[in-house]
Amino acid sequence: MVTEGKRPDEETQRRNGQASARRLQGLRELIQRFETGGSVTREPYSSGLPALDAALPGGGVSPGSIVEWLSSGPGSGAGLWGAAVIREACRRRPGWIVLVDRDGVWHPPALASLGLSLDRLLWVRPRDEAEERWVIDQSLRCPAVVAVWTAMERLEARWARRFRAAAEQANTLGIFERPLAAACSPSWADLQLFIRPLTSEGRWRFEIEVVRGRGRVRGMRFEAEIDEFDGAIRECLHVGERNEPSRRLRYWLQTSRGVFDEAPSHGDLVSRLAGAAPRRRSARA
Amino acid sequence: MVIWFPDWPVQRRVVVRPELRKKPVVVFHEDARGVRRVVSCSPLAWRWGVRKGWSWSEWEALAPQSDTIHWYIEKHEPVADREALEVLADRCRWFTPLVGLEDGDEPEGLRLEITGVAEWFGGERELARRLLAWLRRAGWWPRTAIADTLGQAWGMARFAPSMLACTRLLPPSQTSLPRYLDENHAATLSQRRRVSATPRGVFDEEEHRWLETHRWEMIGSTEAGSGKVAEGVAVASTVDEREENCWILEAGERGDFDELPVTALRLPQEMVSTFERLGILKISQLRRLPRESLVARFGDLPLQRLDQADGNLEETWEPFRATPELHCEQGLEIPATDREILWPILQGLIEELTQRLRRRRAGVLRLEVVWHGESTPTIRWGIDFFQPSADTKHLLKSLAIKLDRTIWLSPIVGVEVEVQLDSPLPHRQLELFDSGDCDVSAASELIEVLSGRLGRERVLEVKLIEDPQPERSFEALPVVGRRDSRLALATRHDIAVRSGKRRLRKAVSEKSDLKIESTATSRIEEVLRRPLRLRRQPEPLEVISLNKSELRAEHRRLPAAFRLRGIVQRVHRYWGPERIETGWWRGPWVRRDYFRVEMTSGERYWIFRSGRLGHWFLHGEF
Repeated sequence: MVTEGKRPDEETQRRNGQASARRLQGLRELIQRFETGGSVTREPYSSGLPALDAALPGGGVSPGSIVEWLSSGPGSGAGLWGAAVIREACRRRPGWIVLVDRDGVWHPPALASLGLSLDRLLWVRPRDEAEERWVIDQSLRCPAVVAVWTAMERLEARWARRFRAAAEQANTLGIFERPLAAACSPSWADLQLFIRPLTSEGRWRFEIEVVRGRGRVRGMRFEAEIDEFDGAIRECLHVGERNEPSRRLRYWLQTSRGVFDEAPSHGDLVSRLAGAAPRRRSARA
Repeated sequence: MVIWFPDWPVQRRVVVRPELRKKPVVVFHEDARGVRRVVSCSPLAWRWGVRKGWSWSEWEALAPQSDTIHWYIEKHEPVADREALEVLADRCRWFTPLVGLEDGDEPEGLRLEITGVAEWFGGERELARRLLAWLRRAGWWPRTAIADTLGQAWGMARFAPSMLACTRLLPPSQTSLPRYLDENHAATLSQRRRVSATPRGVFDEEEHRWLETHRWEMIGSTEAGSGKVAEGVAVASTVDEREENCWILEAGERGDFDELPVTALRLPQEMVSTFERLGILKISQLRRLPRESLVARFGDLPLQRLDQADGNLEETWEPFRATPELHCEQGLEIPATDREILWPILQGLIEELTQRLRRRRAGVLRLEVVWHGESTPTIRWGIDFFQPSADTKHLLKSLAIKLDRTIWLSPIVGVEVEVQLDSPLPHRQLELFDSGDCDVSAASELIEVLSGRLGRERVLEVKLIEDPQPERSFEALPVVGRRDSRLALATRHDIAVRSGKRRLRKAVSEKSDLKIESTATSRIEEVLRRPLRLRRQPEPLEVISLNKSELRAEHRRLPAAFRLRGIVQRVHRYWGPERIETGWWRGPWVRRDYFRVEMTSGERYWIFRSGRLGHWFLHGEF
């Protein structure tokens, strides 16, 4: 009798548990939809950092998104991290990589050594900024392209919006390397990361901070290193989650305020109203 | 009839760029190991002592190097040379419909079948005169010969002018003969009936040019431009052949041909060397040998060539057909500039062209549209395609962009459309369901749009080269307008993979020798050994101090700090040196000691010390 009496309870509990799990899953999807602006959920690419992937909506860098790597300049290793995401994207989806290189400085043998197939690399060398913008826009709109990789100093709001729309339309990943000063201007990127190389006695070590991003990733900081022999990324320390920029980034924001506090153009105003306003938000925090 | 263009690689460049006429031009061939050899040189370079077959080091050592001599050096481009000769062959069809290229991978001459054609021009001599005049006006310096057989004409075109030049020198004992003619040969020729020479001669400017063109080594001290030469040089007074630079063998005559060297029989160089060692220098000497012994010792080839030259053995050759059916043109009765008038004409021409292409199962890779203006020069549009296409809409889409952007300065009187490069259409089986091939059309569209606006030289694919010098370790090639684009082949491979067609995938891989992901795995041990960004020109570094105490003896000259972009950067640690010592055969010696340095800020750079100067340079950033 006792055993017979227990069976319905266990069954009910199991059913209730399954219903709760489904409800939770539904709520997670709903939250994710809010976080991603209602876009279709796609299989994400890993950024190379498990903690960051777990915090990002969808569990990684979404195809059809724009990722900006901010660094203090060439030599900081931002390209290595961009290459890691692109390598992962190419592994998951066949297609081309479009490398937009106005100065003609990228070194293809190094790209090959990082695991990118040169048989699928289209190297475009525009003459000026206008051509560069147009090439990026066209490439992001092409469904045959997996990723568009470029480095650019400044990016106007209207072009940023176009890039974002183009990437979403064709499901193309945009990897932009930008100077640290870009953190002061409005951004339409889905994810903006600040990378800072560190001195170490072993592997090349980096500190990575999420400047902008959807979900609960903003302010997260990591320390990771790259193996010099196989190019593998190892996350060695999750520094923490903060809602304000780190000291170095804050220093940059303060020192560059004079330069970037100019009167905004019409396009900038629209984007600021519609998009993120980093300085105001940091002031609130 | 045979037309020979001496030093065709140089001629091609000089005709395109007339300013090179006054410069010594040298064309080098670089083999897979990077060894350079002189393939061709201009008359002026010849005058400065440069010879074919020289290595780069010989050129450096023997050619005069000074500030007053501006050498123009270019890499050998056999494909471009052949294409230019094909264009010329196509234009020569104005004289006769049957025009062909010489045999071999790198032809330097044309064959023209003029049987039954010469009468229309007033005889063979008149035809040759008009043809040569036309070529000279265009800037070429050709040699021609007309004979009964192709073998005779080939030999006479190449060797008869030199023979004629020999006859102009009297006495032979006072002359130093050209290197490619032996003394016996010249002595025999000097007694020929055509020579009428004076013991003293004066070269005028035209003769100077002729001598330079034919690489004649002038004797005595010459004063360029003054028209005076030293005593002892004689010049033939009959100059009609010289002006025409054409040798015509009458029907049945073969005396002059027999006086030519054995090389004129188109024999391999090894065989010619063997003949020379045996003392057989002229064709007439070869004829005296018993045929059986010739076959036993040298095989069938010498007799075959002799019989072909005599006309006893028929020789066939294939005329060059420059895709005559892939060219359409239309004239306008009333000149116009309106798009509404020009666009339908262009549509009609493209429609006609694509129909012909589809019949041949071919697609266009490079299209040229020529607009003839009423008072302005012709406007040429070159449009390159990523994949061979015979789709009218596709071609018209590319042309519509160009047409919309064009502003006509003069009314158009005629339009020509020509397929300059075509390729077989890739076989695609019709699928019941979508197999994802839409990406291919999207990819082609992207490439063509980018190339159309930026130019084909700015949309590139990369090919790695095994060269230790970093800036030479890869080659960037245009993606469009080429039959062997690796990107196009990789795209086809992807389709094959996606659609599961094993046979097609294998065929594409075998045909293209495409090794997918080969570059990704083969160099995995070199991760972070090369920088992601490499400067086109190494940037000189301002060294702040030298780290003499901490570093080992052989690395003592590594800077402890340097100034970069106005900021002093201190070295935290380093890897190296990695010595790259190469390129001695290319000219400037490359000897660099590379270091990967990590600065105190964490940034990493690739710097090197120049072996020659000992200066420090920044070459790349990680």
